[in-house]
This record gives sequence, structure tokens and C-alpha cells, in this order.
Amino acid sequence: MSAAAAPGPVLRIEDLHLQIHDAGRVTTILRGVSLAVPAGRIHALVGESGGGKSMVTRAATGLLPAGARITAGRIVLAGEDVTGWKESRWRGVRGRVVSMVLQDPLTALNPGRRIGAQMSDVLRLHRGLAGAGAWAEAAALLDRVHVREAQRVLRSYPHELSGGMRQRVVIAMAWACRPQLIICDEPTTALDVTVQKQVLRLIRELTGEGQGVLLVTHDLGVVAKLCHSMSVIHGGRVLESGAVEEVYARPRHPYTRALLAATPRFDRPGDALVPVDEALIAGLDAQAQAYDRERGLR
Amino acid sequence: MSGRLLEVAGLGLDLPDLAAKPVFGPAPRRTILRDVSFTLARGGALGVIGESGSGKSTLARALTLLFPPQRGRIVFDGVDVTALPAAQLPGYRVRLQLVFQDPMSSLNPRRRVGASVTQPLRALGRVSRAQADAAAAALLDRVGLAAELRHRYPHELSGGQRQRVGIARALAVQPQALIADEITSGLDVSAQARIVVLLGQLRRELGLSVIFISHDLSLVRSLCDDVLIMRGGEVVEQGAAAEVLASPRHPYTRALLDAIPLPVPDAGWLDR
Repeated sequence: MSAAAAPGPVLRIEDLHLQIHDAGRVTTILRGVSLAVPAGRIHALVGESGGGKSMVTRAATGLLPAGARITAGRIVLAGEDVTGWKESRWRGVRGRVVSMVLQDPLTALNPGRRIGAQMSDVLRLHRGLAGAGAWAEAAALLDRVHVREAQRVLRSYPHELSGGMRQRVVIAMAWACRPQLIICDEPTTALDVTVQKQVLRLIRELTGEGQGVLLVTHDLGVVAKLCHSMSVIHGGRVLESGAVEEVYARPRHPYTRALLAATPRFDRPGDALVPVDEALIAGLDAQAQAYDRERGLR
Repeated sequence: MSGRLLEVAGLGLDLPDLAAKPVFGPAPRRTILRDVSFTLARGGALGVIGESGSGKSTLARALTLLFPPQRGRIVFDGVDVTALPAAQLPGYRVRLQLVFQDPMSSLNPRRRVGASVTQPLRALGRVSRAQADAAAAALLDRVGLAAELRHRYPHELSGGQRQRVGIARALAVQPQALIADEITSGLDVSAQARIVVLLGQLRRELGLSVIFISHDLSLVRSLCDDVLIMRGGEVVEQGAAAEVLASPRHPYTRALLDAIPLPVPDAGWLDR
């Protein structure tokens, strides 16, 4: 890791509470989420779908859905409190200070435009580059993410590239402005295992220049190989957090232990694959409801 | 009758390569499957593993004769089905059911789950409208879903629940074998584990034979007796799952295993 990077977190979320108001109905989504992503480090946000992972990433990028309200807590991005910012303020931040890599690169890319044109757009918008300058920088960025035939890729449409290549392009675009924080939401879920390893390597490499990464995933295998620290989230609550080594060696929360037991181990022929116990989930849901009652949330 | 339900020998399939089609004239043929051979025991489970482009999904379609193979032989339950007359295809596909990767696209979004699950039974005239509701409840129960879910629409279910609905629909016609084509990809670890455990249960309790197609070699061990590793339309390695996982012979199998991140912290793994 870069020794020059400041040790302060590039993202700090403190006691974040969030509700969604929809046609008079109120749903509590986040119940006091706290986490920190240090510079030059990779922090994992681990959990299953519906646990609140994606709402955390949306809050940290100013992309909350209509009706979402932060009722308590704060979000500090690169030292600045961004809680409750308006869209106009976020526009100067997204892409420059924080950027995102999503699971499916096909949804992040415009299917009707060549890669070179799309990358040039990003470089014009955020870095004021145009024409040949933008094209050259796009090629340099692709080179940075180890794309060998940058010129060919720049002239291609998204559908002409493999899934792994598309994800590299998206990572290159996310990295274009050297943002301090890159949020990767299930970046390798759709990829073949051999390609996944290359993309994980690439994500780690990016932190070498001091970028912090928040990796959102349900895959405890990926977390074990890539991340420094982790938070386990369910029902909008962080159930356990700590250094990866520590959590794997001594998982304290039963949910963390259950997720580990549900992860296949081909190297341990004796271990049965155990799905997360429904009773455990029901217990966690009851705890979340009790939390809401105590605090007068609905 | 032998202990073999399915015997496949020298299966080969060519499809037109539409990407290389000239403006005038036919598209050139491209070989998608090359000399694929294996047997599936009655009540057995075979894992077919490969990355994208390996031909594993095409194999599923060739076995169900959605893409009739040009070479080789498929013997199902003692009968050569390779050149089955069209009139007998539905009967064959009832016995060998295919479950697809994405239940969102294979389930009718405007039909309640219960109706979707019993639709094959209604089509075959095996149940009346009145009996269908009870049949739906029983099928959902079979795959570990609450019977009430039959009144819901697919979008109201989780990904794992939808996938179990897909399995329930396949089970409706009481097949002898099930081909599960990437049905766990895109699911959470826990939902994934639940599906694998369910397939194991169906094997034990119904004597169902399973062909489990996946890109994830690590999932195979707990379900399958045998495994078939495919690359570029060819089988590169096959054998008992335990053996192949413990001591892979082909470098490609080894590369696949090495690329699976085990849940054991190891920062050096990425450099290897």
C-alpha cells in the first residue's frame, strides 16, 4: 500500500439512518450504519440482497431514490460532510471525488456509442479534454487497466467486447479523475472465475495510488483475498465489523458465521454446504423491528 | 434395465455463425460441441462446468433436442432419442426437464406463480382447473416455498424464490431428470446454497437425476458424483467429482480451481 497516502478515511459514515417515504408509507432501510474506508485501503460491505448495501452506496454517491430521507447520522466524503447535499452540489463531486463500478458493465455503458466516444465524454466533462487529447488520454487509461489493444477497444461498441473487457473499460472510466473513493458494487459477480481474478487484481492495483475502495459483495471468498477490513450488514444494521483476518478467524456474530458456512469449500470434502438458517434471519428481522419500536421509527 | 438413465456418445453440434454471415449466401457453420461423451446414472448427479463460451448451455439444448445434434448419439432410458420424430419430442422433454438461468425471463411476469407452476400440467391435461390450485400448493411445498406464494407474481419474489418456482414447474410433470442450466448464478451465497441443498434433497427423495451446469466448480462437490469440465465445446476432463477436485489432471481444471477465491484470508493469492 502507498506509504504517502494520508491515513484519514476517504469515506466515513456515522450512525446513518434512512427511511423511504412512498405514498404515505414509511419504510426504514438503514438503522445506524457506521463504517470507514481509509485511503489506500479496500473495505468490504458484505451482506445479502435486501440488507441495505446498495442504499449505503447510493447515499455515499448522492444517488438516493425519490422519497429517501436521511433521518439521522452523517456522511463524510474526503473530509467534507455531504449529508443532505443537493444534486447540483453532487455533480461536481461524482466522478471526481467518488466514482462507481457496477455489477453489469452493460448497464453502465451506452450500447449505441463506441467506447472511445464514451470515454471522451467523461474526460471532457470532468477534465476539460477534447478531440485528440481526450482520445490519447482514453488510450492511456485503457493501457493503465492492462488493455492490450487500446485502439481497437476504443473503436468498438460495448457488445463487441467480452464481459471482462467491458468491466475494465468501466474501471478505467471510474478511475479517469483519480477519485479518492471508488465504490465497486459486485464488480465481478457476472464474470468467469479466471477473469474475476484479473479484475480483482486490477482493483487492488488502483489503491496503490492512495484511492480507497468500498467493495460491495456477498462473496466472502472475494473479501478474503482482496479486502483489508469489512462490515457485515443485514436489516440495515452493521452486525459486525473489523479487520478481515480477525473476522474470519473469530467471527463474533452468528450471521457472519452463517454466511461463512454457506460459502462453498471445495478444499474441505467433509464440510457440508449450510444455507443461512431461516430462524436466524427471522430473529434478526425481529431485532430490527424492536429497534424501530424503541426509537419510534415506523 | 441398466443403471444408466442417459448415455451420450460422441455428441457434436454445428450452428450457423451469424456474426460471420455474408450479406448474400448462408452463414458459415461453426462447431459448438465436439465429441462430448458421458453417462448419467439413474438418480445420479453430473456437474458440467465451464466458462462462458465453453458450450455448456448449448449442451443442455442439444440434450433436450432444442438444437438437434449432427453427430453422436443420445440414449435416454434405453431408447435412442437422437433422431426422435417431432411427434415424440414433447414426451421426451417431459421426462428430461430443463430449468433456465433467469427465472425472470422464463416465468410469465403477468401470471401468478401458482398458474405458472401448474401450466405444464394443464397443457398436458393432467389436472383440471379445480385440481390445479392444490397441485400448485403441493409443488411449492416440494421446493420449500410457502403455499401462499402461489398467489403472488414473479416480481414479488426474491431471486432465490423465483428460481425455486422454476424448479417446481419442472417437477410438475414428474420428470426422471432435470437439467439445471446456471440456476445459481446471480444469487446470494445463501440462496445459492439453498438451491444446491434442495437439488440434493430431490435426488434423495424423488430419485431424480440431475445435470447441474455451472461456471462455479466449487458448488459441484456437495451435489454431484461426477463432473465434466468443458472448454471451447470440448470435454477437457471428466471423472468422479471428489477426485477431479482433489487432484485435477488437466491444467485447465487446475487453473479453474486456482481461480476460485476460498473464504480464507490470503493477500498473496492475487499475486499467484
